[in-house]
Amino acid sequence: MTRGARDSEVCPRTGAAGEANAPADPPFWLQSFDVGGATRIDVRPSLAAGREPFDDIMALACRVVVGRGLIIEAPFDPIPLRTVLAEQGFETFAERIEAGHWQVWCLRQREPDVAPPADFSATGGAPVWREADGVHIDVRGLTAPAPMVAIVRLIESGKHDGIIVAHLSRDPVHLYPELAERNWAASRLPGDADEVRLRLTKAPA
Amino acid sequence: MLSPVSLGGAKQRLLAERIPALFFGTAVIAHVIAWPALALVAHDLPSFAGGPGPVLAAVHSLTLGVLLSTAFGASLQMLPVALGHSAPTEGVCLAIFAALVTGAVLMITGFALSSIPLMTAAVLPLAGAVALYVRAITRLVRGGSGSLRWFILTAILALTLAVVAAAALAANYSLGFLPDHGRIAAMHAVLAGFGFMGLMALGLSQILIPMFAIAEPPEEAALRRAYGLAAAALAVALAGLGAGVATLTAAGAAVGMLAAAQHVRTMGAVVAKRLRRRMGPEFILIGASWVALLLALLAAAGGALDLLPETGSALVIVLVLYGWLLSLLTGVLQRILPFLASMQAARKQTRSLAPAKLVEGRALQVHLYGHLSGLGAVAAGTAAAVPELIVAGAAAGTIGAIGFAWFAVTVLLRTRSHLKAHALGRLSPS
Repeated sequence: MTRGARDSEVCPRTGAAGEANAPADPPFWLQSFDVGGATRIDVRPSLAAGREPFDDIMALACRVVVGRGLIIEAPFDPIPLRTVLAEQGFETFAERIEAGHWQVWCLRQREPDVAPPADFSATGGAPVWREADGVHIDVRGLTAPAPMVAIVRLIESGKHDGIIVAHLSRDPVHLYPELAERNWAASRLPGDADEVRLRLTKAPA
Repeated sequence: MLSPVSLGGAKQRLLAERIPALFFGTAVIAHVIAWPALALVAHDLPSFAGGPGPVLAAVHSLTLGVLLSTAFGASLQMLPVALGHSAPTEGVCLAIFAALVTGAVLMITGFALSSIPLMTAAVLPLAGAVALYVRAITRLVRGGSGSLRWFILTAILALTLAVVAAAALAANYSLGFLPDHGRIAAMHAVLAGFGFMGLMALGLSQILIPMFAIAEPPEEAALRRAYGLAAAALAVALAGLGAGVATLTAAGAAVGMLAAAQHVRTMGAVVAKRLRRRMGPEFILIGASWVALLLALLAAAGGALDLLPETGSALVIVLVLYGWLLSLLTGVLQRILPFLASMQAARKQTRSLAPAKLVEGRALQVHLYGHLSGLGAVAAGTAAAVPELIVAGAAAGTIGAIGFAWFAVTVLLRTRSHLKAHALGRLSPS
């Protein structure tokens, strides 16, 4: 059984964060997507209960071999998650089924570009990855004060080189006093239209 | 030196600096009045069972002056920050503040002098303040989801009903139309104390406690259980009071204990997984407030079933107002004041200002010991009807309140000093 194109709001994602998120045509690979052989997870009940499903998704994603798929049912288009999945070798495609219900089709095309984070729980489920300009953390979609907690947790974990790039959905007013307490500074970076991106740096002692 | 960051949209979520300063400043001043007021009414407090006079004036110097001012200021500032919505306008906040203070002064004076015209005159500004506040908060939580929204909406419904009951009580002194003045007064107390202050405290705790402890927010299911139990407790207790069925009132208190236990368990789990290693004295106060809440509900259930001596009603008032709510709010203010000052410094794009640098630790120690010893002595003196113990407790509480004022003034002065140094730095040639 393969998945055919449907007439609904869709968003492709194949690269890194920062891509446009406009509705688009379904990609060609979706025509041959093996729905029956795909792993499925519905994260709506977990999110409704206030639980962070990121670890569960990544645990399933790690077991998906090249050529097989993963289908995620979510209450919104999980853009940060799709960025992480792209780094894990997945092509992804989000489709809005109805209000509060999105289906994300994920096809593993290749082996991961980078090793998956060893311990997602260390940052409260927020995706963390390393790029040339530092360690990135994406806390979009988390409710206050979880973004502040995830970033402070990353700072205190020491798993960075004194530079962290934080992707947020709004200005983290809770965070600034905690940064000041830890002698860290924040400066604004250009980001997506709906994003506040901050460069956090450890100030000299 | 730490570099500044543009707060962009955060500016809309932060109230103008003077708004929290007005609400919290009023609370700090009223706090220094509320404790010595207990000494003045020490002989009448143990047998207090309602009605205008100095005891009711003393009680309302705390409820209106400290508790309501703090709850209004904290919710008007913290809800926009937590929900990511624009804060109410400065004009609305100033109108709420002016009406609240005017009404509170008239009401407290009216109670102290047993003046019906003053009590009646206080109703209009107080009702106006509450109407504006309810409108502002409803707009903030509209469209939100989750238990926080339900805690806040139920809290402001209870506040509205409490004000309606208060207006009826004030009018009854002139018109005498209420069949049972005491029963409506008891419902007013439950609506204001447990309904508004209690639900607001439980709702805001789910944001503030993780923020203070730096911990993951609690699970939504646990919060919903606490909300369901608290709302049911309120409804059952009010039904018991309204119908004059003591067992129903006691059952409401018992369900309230379950709600409190659920809340304490949830918050305890949050704090246990915290990142902040060193906890300040605020967490001792918050812990004490949880103990006082459970004791207050136990005493309320006993009082409803006539199991307590004559001093039972007054003991419940002391445990609820001075034990639970005052301990909780002064603990919360110890974190909020330096935190807000630090956020305001970031708003002005100055060098970063660490909250810890604004805090005078000795002042907080004076407050902690003064408050806890004062509370213990006043509660014991009230229960045992020993006025001398109440006077001693009020004196200790006053010293604690002065310590708290010392802390608050220090935060203000050090923030101003930081901002002034920054302004001078900008003017000086580089």
